[in-house]
Amino acid sequence: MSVFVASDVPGYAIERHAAIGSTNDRASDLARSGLDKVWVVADRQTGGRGRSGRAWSSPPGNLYASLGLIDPCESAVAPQLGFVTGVALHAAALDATGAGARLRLKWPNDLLLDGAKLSGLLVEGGRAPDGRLTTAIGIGVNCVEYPADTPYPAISLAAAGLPCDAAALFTCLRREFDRRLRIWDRGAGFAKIRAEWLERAHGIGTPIRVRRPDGDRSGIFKDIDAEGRLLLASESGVLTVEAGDVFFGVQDPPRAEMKG
Amino acid sequence: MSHSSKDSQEVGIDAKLVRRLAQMLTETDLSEIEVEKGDLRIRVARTITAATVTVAAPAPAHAVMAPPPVAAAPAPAAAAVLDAGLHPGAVSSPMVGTAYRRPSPDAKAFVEIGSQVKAGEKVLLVEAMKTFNEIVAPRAGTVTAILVEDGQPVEYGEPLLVIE
Repeated sequence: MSVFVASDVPGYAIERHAAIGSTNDRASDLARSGLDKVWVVADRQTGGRGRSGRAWSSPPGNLYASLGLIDPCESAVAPQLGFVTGVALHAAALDATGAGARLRLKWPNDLLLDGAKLSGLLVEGGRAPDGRLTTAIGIGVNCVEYPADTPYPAISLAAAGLPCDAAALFTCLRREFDRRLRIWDRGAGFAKIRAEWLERAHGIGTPIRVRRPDGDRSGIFKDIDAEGRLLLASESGVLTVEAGDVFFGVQDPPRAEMKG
Repeated sequence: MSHSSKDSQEVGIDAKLVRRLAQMLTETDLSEIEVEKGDLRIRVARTITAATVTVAAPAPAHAVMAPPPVAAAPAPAAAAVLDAGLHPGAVSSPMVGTAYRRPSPDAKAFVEIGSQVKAGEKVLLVEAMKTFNEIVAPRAGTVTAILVEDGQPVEYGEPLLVIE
């Protein structure tokens, strides 16, 4: 069962589901069928996905929302949408919870609360039949529930003493996202998004380890470059990282494959 | 190319090296370059109109250089790599990132060499900063070369595969 309504933010629509396989799949299908700027939101997902097909646990009470966009930018700058969304989500969570400095962003775009993972974000780009780029931006936020079996700490707003329902957070997110999308301006305004991201980021200037398919690299999280790539400084120079899992601190990260 | 698919799988990891050698060949106007690394010897030579490659198959002891066992399909023949950038059927990367041949590490590859694809069909993924970009077939045809390994970094405009 689903309900399709106009959004309070002009130019957007919202499709609400009690349950759905994956909000990202649905948002992607809608964009490919020609419907731009439709938020798909569900009370729960039966096949929620994270990076590399990892399952995203999706019990009721949390926020599961995806936005489908048609031709948001050139493909080459589509990865910047993760930063646009990360900054918007951080701003929305601050508004909705008042958690202040306890909320930070983890490169490239997870939300951390007291250093533990509060949200996950997945941007998937595809092609409409006419060849235009389509993107589905999926956002999962642990409002009430969080998975206990992750090899890194996870948390929920409720568990941190910050009760905030998914609907209230979603309302803030729709507004903050549209604001950042306009600032970003198809990539022309990425410098502003990058600056805002850096103000909200966790661990700049501290030791980190980055896990890549070809192995782990350690160093100091120096900065992000003009494209948003992580700059890792070590004795052997500065490494530019465009994909990988970041672990903060100097301790050995878990060996197990990360979930979510 | 006369070597077996097993041989091409073992040298597939050096596709970048072969491409660089081919580039050097053109830049220096030489007709032949040969490099040796252990038992692996790569000779890149060109004739007036097209480049050809001869690869000395490494001894089995060098299996350490082989791609991980998940790469079930043989890597493309080196000659295909050389010509691919110029091939009209080449599909190139729209962004800097990491190429994936399958939706998740234990899933089936989207396509193999010889796969028939329809226009718009998903053939690869390129990830950059957790954005997964689908690479779709620009036209219907047969996949004749796959130029990237699972998890390989790719540059903007780098040829990924060839559809004829």
